[in-house]
Amino acid sequence: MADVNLDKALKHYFGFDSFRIGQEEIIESIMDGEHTLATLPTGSGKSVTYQLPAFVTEGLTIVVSPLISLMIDQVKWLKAKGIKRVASLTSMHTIEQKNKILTRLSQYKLLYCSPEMLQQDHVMSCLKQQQVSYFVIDEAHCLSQWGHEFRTDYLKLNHVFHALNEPTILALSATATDAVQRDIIDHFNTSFQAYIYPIDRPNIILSSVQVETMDEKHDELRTILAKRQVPTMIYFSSRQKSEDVCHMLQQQFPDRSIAYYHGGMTSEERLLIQQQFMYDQLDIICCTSAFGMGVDKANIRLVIHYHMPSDIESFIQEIGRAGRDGETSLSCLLYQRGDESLPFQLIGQELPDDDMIARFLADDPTIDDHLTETQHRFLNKQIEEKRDEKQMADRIRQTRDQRLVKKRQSVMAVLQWVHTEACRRESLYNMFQTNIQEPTEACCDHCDFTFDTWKPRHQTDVPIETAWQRRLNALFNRG
Amino acid sequence: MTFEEWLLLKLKHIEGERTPRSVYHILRGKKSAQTFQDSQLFSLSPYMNVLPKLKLTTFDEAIDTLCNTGYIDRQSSLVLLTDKGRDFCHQLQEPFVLNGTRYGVLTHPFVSKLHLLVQSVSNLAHNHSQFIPIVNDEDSQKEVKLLFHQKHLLQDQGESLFRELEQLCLSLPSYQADLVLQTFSGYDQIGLSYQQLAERQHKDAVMIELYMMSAFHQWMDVIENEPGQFPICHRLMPAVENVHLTQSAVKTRQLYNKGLTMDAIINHRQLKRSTIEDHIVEIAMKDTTFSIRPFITYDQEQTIRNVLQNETSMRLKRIKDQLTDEITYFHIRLVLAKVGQKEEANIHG
Repeated sequence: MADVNLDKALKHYFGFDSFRIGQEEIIESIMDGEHTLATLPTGSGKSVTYQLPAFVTEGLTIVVSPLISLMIDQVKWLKAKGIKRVASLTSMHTIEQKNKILTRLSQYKLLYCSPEMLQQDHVMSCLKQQQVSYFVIDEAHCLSQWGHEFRTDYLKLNHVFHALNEPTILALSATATDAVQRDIIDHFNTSFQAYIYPIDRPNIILSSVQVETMDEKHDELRTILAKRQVPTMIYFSSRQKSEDVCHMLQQQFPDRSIAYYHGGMTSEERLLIQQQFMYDQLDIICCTSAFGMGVDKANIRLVIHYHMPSDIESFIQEIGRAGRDGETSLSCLLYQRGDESLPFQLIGQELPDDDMIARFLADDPTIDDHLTETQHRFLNKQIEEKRDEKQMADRIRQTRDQRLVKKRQSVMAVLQWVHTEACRRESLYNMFQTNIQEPTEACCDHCDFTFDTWKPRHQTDVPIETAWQRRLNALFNRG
Repeated sequence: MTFEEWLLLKLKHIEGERTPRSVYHILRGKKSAQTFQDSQLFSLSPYMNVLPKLKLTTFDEAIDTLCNTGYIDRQSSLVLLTDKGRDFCHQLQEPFVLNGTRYGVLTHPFVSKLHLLVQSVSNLAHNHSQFIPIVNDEDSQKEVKLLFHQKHLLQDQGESLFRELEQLCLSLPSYQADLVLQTFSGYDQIGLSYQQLAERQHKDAVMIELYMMSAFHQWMDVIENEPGQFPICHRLMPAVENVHLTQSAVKTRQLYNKGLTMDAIINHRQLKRSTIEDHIVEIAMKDTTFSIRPFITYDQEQTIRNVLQNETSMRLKRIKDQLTDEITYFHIRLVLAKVGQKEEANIHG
C-alpha cells in the first residue's frame, strides 16, 4: 500500500484536501489487510473509508447495507461525481437489471448489496468468481440482538465471508455499544482491529421542551421557528401529521419555503423535495424518518423532533444531520405528556399478535391482507429459522415477546432521557462511550443553554422565479 | 374552477348510462376494453389517461361533494344530474385542451425526458458537469444521454433547445407557461412538484395536474405537427406505434395477423375467451382498418345497427334483450366499436 498516495487519491476521487477524523487510520488498517471494526459519528464521512480503498485496490469491494434507498443514493451520488464503476444489487432491481450487473461484475470496483441478495445461490456463485478485496458491513449493529435494528439476514454474513475466500472485513457503525461490538467480532470468529471514535457531536446543542397539550406544542414550535430562519428539519412519526403541521406552518410563515416529505409520496416528488432542500430552496422540511438517508447537507442548523423517536440510536442518527459543517446547531425534542403511546403503537404494528401467528402457520389465505410488511417479513424469517423445531408457534411467540420487550425498553430509554435532570449530553451518549467531548458553544438546556441566547445567522432560501421568460433565461444562463 | 365542477362536466356525458366509477377508470386510463369503449361512446376520449395517479379516495370525495351540493342525485347508482346540476353545467366551460387518447400514455415519458434534458443542458450552460438527475427512470436517462451526445445540441450552449422551449411557451397563455416552467430543474434551482405549485397557487393539486397535462398535450401536438421547428423536442416524443394498444392486445394482434383463429389464439395464449374477445374489441376500436367480418356476418351487423338506431341507451343488457340469442355480447361490442369510431370521426372532422 506504500505506493498509494492517500491524500492524492482523496483529492482525485472526492475533491477533499484532508481526511476527517478517523478516516485515514481506518483506511490504512484495511489496506494493510486487517479486519477492522470502526465506529464513527454520523455525518463524519464513513463511506469514504471504504470507497477510497475500493477505488485504489485491485479487485471488487462488496458493501452490505440494510438500507436500499441509501445504497441507491450512494450509487447515484458517485455517478454524479463521475465515478462510474459502481452498482447496487437489491430487491428493487428487476431480474434483467440484476443479471446485467452480475454478468459484468469484473467491470465494477464497488458493489452495494442488500443482505438477502447474498443468500441467493446464483448471486453467490457469480461473486465467488471475483477477486473480492474488501467485504464491508455497513450498519454493522444490525448483526447484534442488542443493536436497535437487529436483522436476521445479517446473521449469515459469516458464511458469505468464508464463501468469498475471507476478504478483509470492515464493519462500520455509528451506534455500537460494547455489547454490540462484541457480537460483531464473535460473529466472524476472527481477530479485529477496533477503531472506536466518540460519536458525540460537540457543535450540536441538546434540548427538550415539555408541554401539556398539542396547542402548546404548536406554540412552542412557532416560537422556536419565528426567531430563527435557518435550514430546519422537523421529524414526525406520522405521515399525516407531517403534512398537517407543514400546512399550518406555511400559513404561519408565508415568507418561508416549507415542504413535507414522507414515504407515501411518489419517488419523483420525493426526489424533487430532497434536491430542493440540498439546493437551499427550502427553509423547513417536515419529514418522517424516510428522509435523510443519503442526504448530506452541511448547513442544517436546527433539528426538531415533533414526535419522540422510538430508540436512542435513531435519535442520535437523526440529530446527527445537523451542523455537518461544524457550526453550532440545535436539537430540540418536543414532548407532550403521553407522546410515548405513538411509538408503542408503532411497535405493535411491527410484530404479529398471537392470532396472526396462528393463522399464518395454518396457511390461512386471508391473513396476508391483515399483515403489515414488517409483520410479514418477521413471520417468514421465523418460519425459515424454526422450521424443524417442535411447538413452532410457541417458539415464535417467545421470540416475538423478546423483541417486544427490547423495543419497549428502547422507547423507555428515550422517555428517560426526556425526563432526566442530569446533563443531556452525558445521558445521551453514556451507552456508547465513557467520556464526552467539550461542547464548542453550549452543552444542553440542563447545563448552560437557554433559547434566548442562541441567535444563529439568518440563512434565507432563494425564492423560485415565477415568470417563465426569466426562468428560461436563468436555466440557460442567458443575460 | 374546482375539480368537482370539472368532474361534473364529465359526468354529464355518461348521464343515465354508467356509474361514476367509469369516469374514474377513463381518467386513470384503465387498460380494459370496457373503458376504451366507454371513452369513445360518450365522447370522453380527450380525458383518457389524463390523471393516471388519481386516488380513488380523491375521486369519491369529489362525488360526495357533488351529491352534497345537490348537483347529482345520490339515490341513483347510475349518474343522474339534478336540474340544479344541469343548470350549473351550462355556466361552466372546459378550461383545458386535452387529447388523452393520443397523448395520455405518452405524456409521462415525454415530460420525464424533457425535464432531464433541460436539467442536463442547463448544467452544461453553466459549465457544471456534476448533478443528481432529477428523474430516476433509467430508460429516460439512457435516451437523454444518447441524445445529449449528439453534437449539435452541445455546440450552441443550449441555444437551439432554448429557442424551442421559448416557442412552446409562447404557444401557451403566459399564466400556464409560468406554471409549467416552475416544474423544470436546472443548474440554479430545482423545480416544484405539482403539490407545491398547488400550495403556492392556492389551488387544488388535481387541477394543477390537469393544467400541466393540458400544457404538455398542447406542446406535443405542436411538436408533432411541425417536427421541423422542434428537432430536439421531437426526438423526445415516444414512438406512437402500438402505444395505444394494451401490451396483451398487441400479442393477440400479432397472433391474429399470423392467421391464427380465435380458438387457436385462446389455446396458444392459455387465456380465457373473454380476455381474447376484449383484445379483439380493443383492436377493432382503435384500428379503423381492422375488419370485424371474420367475427360477425353482414346481416348480424345490420340487425344490431338497427337496434342501436332506435335505442338511446348504450347499456349492453338493454340492447341484447332486443336481439335473438345467436347475437352475443361480443357481437354487440364489436359493432359498437365501429359505431364509436364513426362518431369519433364526425366529432373531429
